[in-house]
Amino acid sequence: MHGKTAVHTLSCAYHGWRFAKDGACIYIPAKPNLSPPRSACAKTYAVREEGGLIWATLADASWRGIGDVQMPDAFCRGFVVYRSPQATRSFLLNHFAAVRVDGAVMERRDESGARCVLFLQPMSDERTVIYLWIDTEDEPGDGARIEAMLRAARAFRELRTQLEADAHDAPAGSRR
Amino acid sequence: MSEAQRDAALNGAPVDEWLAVSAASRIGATPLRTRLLGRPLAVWRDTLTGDPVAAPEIGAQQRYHAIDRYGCTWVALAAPRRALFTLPQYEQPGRRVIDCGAFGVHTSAPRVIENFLDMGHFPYVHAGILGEEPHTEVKDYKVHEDEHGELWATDCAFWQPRAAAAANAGMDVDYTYRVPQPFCALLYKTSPRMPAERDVIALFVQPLGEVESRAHLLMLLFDDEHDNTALVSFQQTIFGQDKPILESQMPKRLPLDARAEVSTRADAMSMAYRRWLKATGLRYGVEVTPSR
Repeated sequence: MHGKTAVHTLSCAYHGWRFAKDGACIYIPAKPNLSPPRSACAKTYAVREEGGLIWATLADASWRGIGDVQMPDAFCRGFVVYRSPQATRSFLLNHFAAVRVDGAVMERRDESGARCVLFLQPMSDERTVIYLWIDTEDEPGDGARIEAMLRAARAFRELRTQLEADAHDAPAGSRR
Repeated sequence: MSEAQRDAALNGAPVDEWLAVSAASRIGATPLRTRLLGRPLAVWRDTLTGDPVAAPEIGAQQRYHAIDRYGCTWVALAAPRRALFTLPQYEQPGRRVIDCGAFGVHTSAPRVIENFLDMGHFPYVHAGILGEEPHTEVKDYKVHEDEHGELWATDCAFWQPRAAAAANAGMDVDYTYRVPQPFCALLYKTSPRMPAERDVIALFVQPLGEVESRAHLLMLLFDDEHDNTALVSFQQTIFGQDKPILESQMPKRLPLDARAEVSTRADAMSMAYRRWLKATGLRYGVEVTPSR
């Protein structure tokens, strides 16, 4: 749902209907004196905040954490990739030379020992979001930290271009 | 029976309806190539007669029906089932007719029309212009179908901070909505300059395909102060706010089953529009049974 939060409720961007934490609609601004019908209920999913990311599960999976991976300190950026989560995952395993942690988390170190961690969000059958994080604790100052983040994002952007061009297993019609 | 009519019998597409395809002023000797109901379409102007001509493609022998009316060029793929609706305000002295252009929207034509008929979204999607919290209530209004089979919502009122380019302050605006055809809607609203008159905003949706549309917007209004650029940019701002919301609505075909989505009395016009579409037998850009 698109919207914004307003006093412990989520307000829909279209008509401002407000939904409580359990998904029940509690206020319809177009009819302020009406008790919203019980059928006006948004579906909710379990969600948690961990390591600077927000995690959700569509099927009440129990929280397993991110294994032995230590959470990096710097979020560079998110990349939307117009490829299926499966194709994205297999491409990254082949070309990112990643240490696979599980289906959604990947880690690697380059020759200099600098570490990248990727988090994969399966957006749909045709789209995947990749969140790129790096370690910047060893950088000498804010300028150098930002420079390291930009460098990592630039390098990853090239990888994304290759990933989207790598069409051998892309289903027809899934390309931009 | 023509090929287009045979197709229509199969898929319920309104091939025998007049559908807007362009502002008439944009049709000249050079063909406009577009689509209508999923079919390719070329429209140009006969330089001798000045009449619009429509065909599947430039070299084709086949001709579709084409006319200029109300500042637009209209095309029917098969013999039209009825004359185009009347719009007397188009001829009224003192009104300016302003072509606000065409907007591509990745959704069905009925979704675009329904959004146009909805006041409840003004304080959220058009905050600061067509509505503003806490003025969110949609007061009860009347809905009826007239003797010509056109759908009307009357006695609508809504508080608007900036109802038009010509409005300097917030005002209670009276609205009347009219749906003369499934993909055409007209809005008659208080004219900030001529309180006794109504400005007319016309939305004619061209269904490129079932879930891909072009919205042609036209204004007939009393405003002697703002130039066309200011008036057009006002409407473009509004439509630019509607577009991402429209494109995020799922399913893209408008569900006609009353149980498919939750509604209140504020949505009376939207519910009437859905019932009316169902009764007309339209099966294009709509879902007759719930998708879930």
